[in-house]
Amino acid sequence: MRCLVVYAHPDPESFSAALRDAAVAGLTSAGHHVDVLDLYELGFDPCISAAELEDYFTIGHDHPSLADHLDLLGRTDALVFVYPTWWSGVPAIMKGWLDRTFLPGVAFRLDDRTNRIRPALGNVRHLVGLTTYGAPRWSVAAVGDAGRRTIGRTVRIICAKRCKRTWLGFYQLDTARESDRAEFLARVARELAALR
Amino acid sequence: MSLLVAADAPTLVVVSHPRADSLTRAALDRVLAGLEHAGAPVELLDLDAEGFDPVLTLEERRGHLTHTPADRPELVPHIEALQGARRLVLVYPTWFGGQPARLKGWFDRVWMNEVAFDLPPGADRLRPRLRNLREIHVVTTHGSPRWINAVQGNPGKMRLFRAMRNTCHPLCRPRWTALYDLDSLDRSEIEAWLDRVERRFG
Repeated sequence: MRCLVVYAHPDPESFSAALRDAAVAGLTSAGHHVDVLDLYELGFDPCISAAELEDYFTIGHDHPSLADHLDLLGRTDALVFVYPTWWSGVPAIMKGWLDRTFLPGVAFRLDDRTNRIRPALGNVRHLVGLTTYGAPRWSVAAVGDAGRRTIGRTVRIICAKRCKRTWLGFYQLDTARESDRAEFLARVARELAALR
Repeated sequence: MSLLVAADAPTLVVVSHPRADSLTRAALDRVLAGLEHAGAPVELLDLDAEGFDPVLTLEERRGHLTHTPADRPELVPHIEALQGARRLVLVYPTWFGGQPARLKGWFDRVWMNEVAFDLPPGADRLRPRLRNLREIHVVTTHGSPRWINAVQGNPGKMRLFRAMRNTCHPLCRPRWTALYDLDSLDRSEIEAWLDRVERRFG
Protein backbone atom coordinates (compact mmCIF):
# COMPACT_ATOMS: atom_id res chain seq x y z
CA MET A 1 0.00 0.00 0.00
CA ARG A 2 1.21 3.53 -0.74
CA CYS A 3 0.78 6.00 2.12
CA LEU A 4 1.07 9.78 2.05
CA VAL A 5 1.67 11.45 5.40
CA VAL A 6 0.96 15.19 5.36
CA TYR A 7 2.46 16.80 8.42
CA ALA A 8 2.42 20.35 9.74
CA HIS A 9 4.07 21.63 12.90
CA PRO A 10 6.74 24.32 13.19
CA ASP A 11 8.53 22.58 16.09
CA PRO A 12 10.58 19.44 15.32
CA GLU A 13 10.47 18.62 19.05
CA SER A 14 6.66 18.75 19.27
CA PHE A 15 4.38 15.88 20.17
CA SER A 16 2.97 16.15 16.64
CA ALA A 17 6.46 15.29 15.33
CA ALA A 18 6.43 12.22 17.57
CA LEU A 19 2.99 11.32 16.19
CA ARG A 20 4.34 11.56 12.65
CA ASP A 21 7.29 9.31 13.54
CA ALA A 22 5.00 6.76 15.21
CA ALA A 23 2.73 6.75 12.15
CA VAL A 24 5.65 6.29 9.74
CA ALA A 25 7.11 3.52 11.93
CA GLY A 26 3.77 1.71 12.11
CA LEU A 27 3.11 1.93 8.38
CA THR A 28 6.68 0.93 7.48
CA SER A 29 6.60 -2.06 9.83
CA ALA A 30 3.55 -3.35 7.95
CA GLY A 31 5.53 -3.19 4.71
CA HIS A 32 3.83 -0.13 3.28
CA HIS A 33 5.58 2.50 1.20
CA VAL A 34 5.48 5.86 2.98
CA ASP A 35 5.99 9.37 1.62
CA VAL A 36 6.03 12.32 4.01
CA LEU A 37 5.21 15.92 3.12
CA ASP A 38 6.54 18.07 5.95
CA LEU A 39 4.88 21.36 5.04
CA TYR A 40 6.91 23.55 7.39
CA GLU A 41 10.21 22.00 6.32
CA LEU A 42 9.23 22.45 2.68
CA GLY A 43 8.42 26.09 3.35
CA PHE A 44 5.07 25.43 1.70
CA ASP A 45 3.29 28.63 0.66
CA PRO A 46 -0.35 28.18 1.71
CA CYS A 47 -1.77 31.20 -0.11
CA ILE A 48 -3.40 30.89 -3.51
CA SER A 49 -2.11 33.67 -5.72
CA ALA A 50 -4.32 35.72 -8.03
CA ALA A 51 -2.68 34.12 -11.08
CA GLU A 52 -3.15 30.62 -9.67
CA LEU A 53 -6.81 31.25 -9.05
CA GLU A 54 -7.28 32.39 -12.62
CA ASP A 55 -6.27 28.92 -13.86
CA TYR A 56 -8.00 27.10 -10.99
CA PHE A 57 -10.50 25.14 -13.06
CA THR A 58 -8.10 24.17 -15.85
CA ILE A 59 -4.62 23.74 -14.40
CA GLY A 60 -5.08 20.23 -12.94
CA HIS A 61 -2.01 18.03 -12.93
CA ASP A 62 -0.03 20.55 -15.00
CA HIS A 63 0.54 22.77 -11.98
CA PRO A 64 4.15 23.94 -12.33
CA SER A 65 5.16 24.13 -8.66
CA LEU A 66 2.92 21.46 -7.13
CA ALA A 67 3.33 18.60 -9.61
CA ASP A 68 5.13 16.38 -7.06
CA HIS A 69 2.39 16.88 -4.48
CA LEU A 70 -0.36 16.20 -6.99
CA ASP A 71 1.41 13.07 -8.21
CA LEU A 72 1.67 11.69 -4.66
CA LEU A 73 -1.94 12.59 -3.93
CA GLY A 74 -3.20 10.90 -7.08
CA ARG A 75 -1.40 7.62 -6.35
CA THR A 76 -1.74 7.13 -2.61
CA ASP A 77 -3.92 4.44 -1.00
CA ALA A 78 -3.82 6.03 2.43
CA LEU A 79 -3.86 9.73 3.22
CA VAL A 80 -2.66 10.54 6.74
CA PHE A 81 -2.91 14.04 8.23
CA VAL A 82 -0.77 14.85 11.29
CA TYR A 83 -1.24 18.27 12.90
CA PRO A 84 -1.85 20.22 16.11
CA THR A 85 -5.44 21.48 16.41
CA TRP A 86 -5.39 25.29 16.43
CA TRP A 87 -8.66 27.18 16.61
CA SER A 88 -10.56 23.96 16.15
CA GLY A 89 -8.79 23.03 12.95
CA VAL A 90 -5.73 22.40 10.86
CA PRO A 91 -2.94 25.01 10.92
CA ALA A 92 -3.08 27.60 8.11
CA ILE A 93 -0.20 25.94 6.26
CA MET A 94 -2.20 22.69 6.04
CA LYS A 95 -5.44 24.45 5.13
CA GLY A 96 -3.49 26.07 2.32
CA TRP A 97 -2.22 22.68 1.20
CA LEU A 98 -5.85 21.62 0.79
CA ASP A 99 -6.78 24.92 -0.87
CA ARG A 100 -3.97 24.63 -3.42
CA THR A 101 -3.57 20.91 -4.18
CA PHE A 102 -7.17 19.70 -3.99
CA LEU A 103 -7.84 21.00 -7.46
CA PRO A 104 -10.62 20.27 -9.92
CA GLY A 105 -9.49 17.39 -12.11
CA VAL A 106 -7.14 16.20 -9.36
CA ALA A 107 -9.10 15.78 -6.14
CA PHE A 108 -12.63 16.31 -7.44
CA ARG A 109 -14.49 17.14 -10.60
CA LEU A 110 -17.62 19.10 -11.32
CA ASP A 111 -20.40 17.04 -12.83
CA ASP A 112 -21.06 18.06 -16.47
CA ARG A 113 -24.79 18.09 -16.01
CA THR A 114 -25.39 19.23 -12.42
CA ASN A 115 -22.14 21.16 -11.85
CA ARG A 116 -21.94 19.45 -8.45
CA ILE A 117 -18.73 18.31 -6.78
CA ARG A 118 -17.87 14.66 -7.57
CA PRO A 119 -15.03 12.54 -6.14
CA ALA A 120 -11.74 12.19 -8.02
CA LEU A 121 -9.61 10.66 -5.24
CA GLY A 122 -10.92 7.14 -5.81
CA ASN A 123 -7.43 5.88 -5.01
CA VAL A 124 -7.72 6.98 -1.37
CA ARG A 125 -9.23 4.11 0.61
CA HIS A 126 -7.89 5.07 4.04
CA LEU A 127 -8.20 8.51 5.55
CA VAL A 128 -6.39 9.01 8.84
CA GLY A 129 -6.29 12.00 11.20
CA LEU A 130 -3.72 12.23 13.98
CA THR A 131 -4.02 15.37 16.02
CA THR A 132 -3.49 16.99 19.39
CA TYR A 133 -5.97 19.13 21.29
CA GLY A 134 -5.36 21.41 24.26
CA ALA A 135 -8.92 20.89 25.49
CA PRO A 136 -10.66 17.79 26.87
CA ARG A 137 -12.64 15.52 24.56
CA TRP A 138 -16.09 16.76 25.67
CA SER A 139 -15.09 20.36 25.06
CA VAL A 140 -13.69 19.58 21.60
CA ALA A 141 -16.93 17.76 20.77
CA ALA A 142 -19.00 20.69 22.06
CA VAL A 143 -17.35 23.15 19.67
CA GLY A 144 -17.77 20.79 16.73
CA ASP A 145 -14.12 19.92 15.95
CA ALA A 146 -13.87 21.76 12.64
CA GLY A 147 -10.57 20.04 11.79
CA ARG A 148 -12.13 16.61 12.05
CA ARG A 149 -15.05 17.80 9.93
CA THR A 150 -12.62 19.14 7.31
CA ILE A 151 -10.79 15.83 6.98
CA GLY A 152 -13.39 13.28 8.02
CA ARG A 153 -16.21 14.83 6.00
CA THR A 154 -15.14 17.53 3.52
CA VAL A 155 -12.16 15.49 2.26
CA ARG A 156 -13.88 12.15 2.84
CA ILE A 157 -16.65 12.74 0.30
CA ILE A 158 -14.17 13.04 -2.58
CA CYS A 159 -12.27 9.83 -1.69
CA ALA A 160 -13.09 6.22 -2.61
CA LYS A 161 -16.66 5.19 -1.96
CA ARG A 162 -15.65 2.68 0.71
CA CYS A 163 -12.86 4.82 2.14
CA LYS A 164 -12.30 4.02 5.82
CA ARG A 165 -11.72 6.72 8.39
CA THR A 166 -9.41 6.44 11.38
CA TRP A 167 -9.35 9.29 13.88
CA LEU A 168 -6.81 9.33 16.70
CA GLY A 169 -6.94 12.46 18.83
CA PHE A 170 -4.77 13.19 21.83
CA TYR A 171 -6.63 15.46 24.23
CA GLN A 172 -5.46 17.83 26.99
CA LEU A 173 -1.97 17.97 25.53
CA ASP A 174 -0.64 20.64 27.91
CA THR A 175 -1.61 18.78 31.06
CA ALA A 176 -1.01 15.18 29.91
CA ARG A 177 1.34 12.84 31.73
CA GLU A 178 4.42 11.41 30.02
CA SER A 179 2.98 7.91 30.35
CA ASP A 180 -0.23 8.97 28.55
CA ARG A 181 1.86 10.32 25.69
CA ALA A 182 3.95 7.15 25.39
CA GLU A 183 0.84 4.99 25.47
CA PHE A 184 -0.81 7.07 22.76
CA LEU A 185 2.26 6.89 20.50
CA ALA A 186 2.28 3.10 20.84
CA ARG A 187 -1.40 3.02 19.94
CA VAL A 188 -0.82 5.18 16.85
CA ALA A 189 1.95 2.86 15.61
CA ARG A 190 -0.22 -0.21 16.31
CA GLU A 191 -3.35 1.11 14.60
CA LEU A 192 -1.47 2.35 11.55
CA ALA A 193 0.37 -0.97 11.23
CA ALA A 194 -3.04 -2.65 11.15
CA LEU A 195 -4.32 -0.71 8.09
CA ARG A 196 -4.80 -2.95 5.08
CA MET B 1 -9.49 44.19 27.20
CA SER B 2 -12.48 46.14 28.32
CA LEU B 3 -15.98 45.04 29.15
CA LEU B 4 -17.13 48.55 28.46
CA VAL B 5 -16.54 48.99 24.77
CA ALA B 6 -18.40 52.06 23.65
CA ALA B 7 -21.51 51.54 21.58
CA ASP B 8 -19.85 53.54 18.82
CA ALA B 9 -16.70 51.39 18.86
CA PRO B 10 -15.68 50.49 15.34
CA THR B 11 -16.74 47.57 13.26
CA LEU B 12 -13.66 45.63 12.24
CA VAL B 13 -13.93 44.24 8.71
CA VAL B 14 -11.40 41.56 7.74
CA VAL B 15 -11.31 40.46 4.11
CA SER B 16 -9.34 37.76 2.33
CA HIS B 17 -9.39 37.04 -1.39
CA PRO B 18 -6.44 37.20 -3.77
CA ARG B 19 -8.34 38.75 -6.69
CA ALA B 20 -9.58 42.32 -6.98
CA ASP B 21 -12.28 41.27 -9.48
CA SER B 22 -13.71 38.55 -7.21
CA LEU B 23 -17.22 38.26 -5.88
CA THR B 24 -15.74 38.47 -2.37
CA ARG B 25 -14.38 41.94 -3.21
CA ALA B 26 -17.75 42.94 -4.66
CA ALA B 27 -19.36 41.76 -1.41
CA LEU B 28 -16.80 43.77 0.57
CA ASP B 29 -17.74 46.91 -1.34
CA ARG B 30 -21.38 46.35 -0.45
CA VAL B 31 -20.55 45.71 3.22
CA LEU B 32 -18.61 48.98 3.34
CA ALA B 33 -21.37 50.85 1.49
CA GLY B 34 -23.94 49.53 3.95
CA LEU B 35 -21.82 50.47 6.95
CA GLU B 36 -21.19 53.93 5.55
CA HIS B 37 -24.90 54.42 5.04
CA ALA B 38 -25.50 53.38 8.62
CA GLY B 39 -22.84 55.84 9.76
CA ALA B 40 -20.87 53.18 11.60
CA PRO B 41 -17.16 53.74 12.20
CA VAL B 42 -15.18 51.10 10.31
CA GLU B 43 -11.72 49.67 10.40
CA LEU B 44 -10.63 47.48 7.47
CA LEU B 45 -7.92 44.81 7.35
CA ASP B 46 -7.24 43.59 3.84
CA LEU B 47 -5.09 40.52 4.43
CA ASP B 48 -4.14 39.83 0.82
CA ALA B 49 -3.40 43.47 -0.01
CA GLU B 50 -0.98 43.72 2.90
CA GLY B 51 0.47 40.26 2.19
CA PHE B 52 -0.33 38.98 5.66
CA ASP B 53 1.79 35.88 6.38
CA PRO B 54 -0.50 33.20 7.83
CA VAL B 55 2.18 30.72 8.85
CA LEU B 56 2.69 30.59 12.62
CA THR B 57 6.43 30.39 13.28
CA LEU B 58 8.48 28.15 15.53
CA GLU B 59 9.16 31.07 17.86
CA GLU B 60 5.45 31.89 18.04
CA ARG B 61 4.61 28.27 18.79
CA ARG B 62 7.20 27.99 21.53
CA GLY B 63 5.78 31.15 23.11
CA HIS B 64 2.14 30.42 22.55
CA LEU B 65 1.33 30.30 26.28
CA THR B 66 3.77 32.96 27.48
CA HIS B 67 4.23 35.59 24.80
CA THR B 68 2.19 38.77 24.83
CA PRO B 69 1.45 41.35 22.12
CA ALA B 70 4.70 43.11 23.11
CA ASP B 71 6.52 40.10 21.61
CA ARG B 72 4.74 40.63 18.28
CA PRO B 73 5.21 44.26 17.29
CA GLU B 74 4.35 43.43 13.67
CA LEU B 75 0.91 42.14 14.76
CA VAL B 76 0.07 44.97 17.15
CA PRO B 77 -2.04 47.00 14.67
CA HIS B 78 -4.19 43.92 14.04
CA ILE B 79 -4.37 43.07 17.73
CA GLU B 80 -5.43 46.58 18.69
CA ALA B 81 -8.06 46.64 15.97
CA LEU B 82 -9.44 43.31 17.23
CA GLN B 83 -9.47 44.42 20.87
CA GLY B 84 -11.08 47.75 20.06
CA ALA B 85 -13.96 46.45 17.95
CA ARG B 86 -17.52 45.87 19.01
CA ARG B 87 -18.39 43.93 15.91
CA LEU B 88 -16.22 41.68 13.69
CA VAL B 89 -17.15 41.23 10.04
CA LEU B 90 -15.34 38.53 8.06
CA VAL B 91 -15.61 38.54 4.28
CA TYR B 92 -14.11 35.53 2.47
CA PRO B 93 -14.76 32.72 0.01
CA THR B 94 -15.43 29.32 1.61
CA TRP B 95 -12.80 26.92 0.27
CA PHE B 96 -12.88 23.31 1.29
CA GLY B 97 -15.53 23.98 3.86
CA GLY B 98 -13.74 26.80 5.62
CA GLN B 99 -11.70 29.96 5.61
CA PRO B 100 -8.86 30.40 3.10
CA ALA B 101 -5.43 29.64 4.59
CA ARG B 102 -4.58 33.31 4.89
CA LEU B 103 -7.58 34.01 7.10
CA LYS B 104 -7.09 30.80 9.11
CA GLY B 105 -3.55 31.97 9.77
CA TRP B 106 -4.86 35.35 10.92
CA PHE B 107 -6.75 33.44 13.62
CA ASP B 108 -3.72 31.25 14.40
CA ARG B 109 -1.40 34.23 14.83
CA VAL B 110 -3.46 37.26 15.91
CA TRP B 111 -5.93 35.52 18.25
CA MET B 112 -3.03 34.87 20.59
CA ASN B 113 -2.35 34.51 24.29
CA GLU B 114 -3.46 37.57 26.29
CA VAL B 115 -5.45 38.77 23.28
CA ALA B 116 -8.14 36.19 22.62
CA PHE B 117 -7.53 34.01 25.66
CA ASP B 118 -5.57 33.21 28.80
CA LEU B 119 -4.48 29.69 29.61
CA PRO B 120 -3.07 29.59 33.15
CA PRO B 121 -0.70 26.75 34.06
CA GLY B 122 -2.63 23.53 34.63
CA ALA B 123 -5.74 24.73 32.79
CA ASP B 124 -7.02 22.81 29.80
CA ARG B 125 -9.65 25.27 28.58
CA LEU B 126 -9.15 28.75 27.23
CA ARG B 127 -10.33 31.69 29.37
CA PRO B 128 -12.02 34.18 27.05
CA ARG B 129 -10.58 37.67 26.60
CA LEU B 130 -12.37 39.21 23.64
CA ARG B 131 -15.34 40.34 25.72
CA ASN B 132 -15.50 43.45 23.56
CA LEU B 133 -16.88 41.49 20.59
CA ARG B 134 -20.68 41.58 20.62
CA GLU B 135 -21.20 40.28 17.12
CA ILE B 136 -19.44 38.15 14.52
CA HIS B 137 -20.94 38.64 11.08
CA VAL B 138 -19.71 36.34 8.31
CA VAL B 139 -20.18 37.19 4.64
CA THR B 140 -19.08 34.24 2.55
CA THR B 141 -19.61 32.48 -0.76
CA HIS B 142 -19.86 28.74 -1.42
CA GLY B 143 -19.45 27.01 -4.78
CA SER B 144 -21.67 24.13 -3.67
CA PRO B 145 -25.31 24.19 -2.57
CA ARG B 146 -26.28 24.32 1.07
CA TRP B 147 -26.96 20.59 1.36
CA ILE B 148 -23.48 19.62 0.16
CA ASN B 149 -21.98 22.00 2.71
CA ALA B 150 -24.13 20.33 5.35
CA VAL B 151 -22.74 16.93 4.32
CA GLN B 152 -19.24 18.42 4.51
CA GLY B 153 -20.02 19.50 8.07
CA ASN B 154 -19.70 23.31 7.65
CA PRO B 155 -16.31 23.34 9.39
CA GLY B 156 -15.69 27.04 8.79
CA LYS B 157 -19.01 28.04 10.32
CA MET B 158 -18.46 25.70 13.26
CA ARG B 159 -15.02 27.14 13.95
CA LEU B 160 -16.27 30.72 14.11
CA PHE B 161 -19.63 30.32 15.75
CA ARG B 162 -18.60 27.75 18.32
CA ALA B 163 -14.87 27.63 19.05
CA MET B 164 -13.95 31.26 18.42
CA ARG B 165 -17.17 32.84 19.63
CA ASN B 166 -16.44 31.21 22.99
CA THR B 167 -13.65 33.73 23.49
CA CYS B 168 -15.99 36.69 22.85
CA HIS B 169 -18.74 38.37 24.85
CA PRO B 170 -21.16 35.79 26.36
CA LEU B 171 -23.98 37.30 24.30
CA CYS B 172 -21.90 37.66 21.12
CA ARG B 173 -24.32 37.37 18.26
CA PRO B 174 -23.50 35.16 15.27
CA ARG B 175 -24.74 36.40 11.91
CA TRP B 176 -24.34 34.49 8.66
CA THR B 177 -24.86 36.10 5.26
CA ALA B 178 -23.89 33.37 2.82
CA LEU B 179 -24.26 32.66 -0.86
CA TYR B 180 -24.54 29.00 -1.83
CA ASP B 181 -24.37 27.17 -5.15
CA LEU B 182 -22.35 29.93 -6.77
CA ASP B 183 -21.22 27.64 -9.60
CA SER B 184 -24.85 27.31 -10.76
CA LEU B 185 -26.20 30.84 -10.29
CA ASP B 186 -26.77 33.43 -12.97
CA ARG B 187 -25.75 37.08 -12.79
CA SER B 188 -29.11 38.37 -11.55
CA GLU B 189 -29.16 35.92 -8.64
CA ILE B 190 -25.68 37.01 -7.64
CA GLU B 191 -26.68 40.68 -7.89
CA ALA B 192 -29.70 39.99 -5.70
CA TRP B 193 -27.41 38.50 -3.07
CA LEU B 194 -25.07 41.51 -3.21
CA ASP B 195 -28.08 43.79 -2.67
CA ARG B 196 -28.99 41.68 0.33
CA VAL B 197 -25.47 42.02 1.73
CA GLU B 198 -25.70 45.80 1.58
CA ARG B 199 -29.16 45.81 3.20
CA ARG B 200 -27.87 43.63 6.05
CA PHE B 201 -25.36 46.33 6.94
CA GLY B 202 -27.24 49.47 5.89
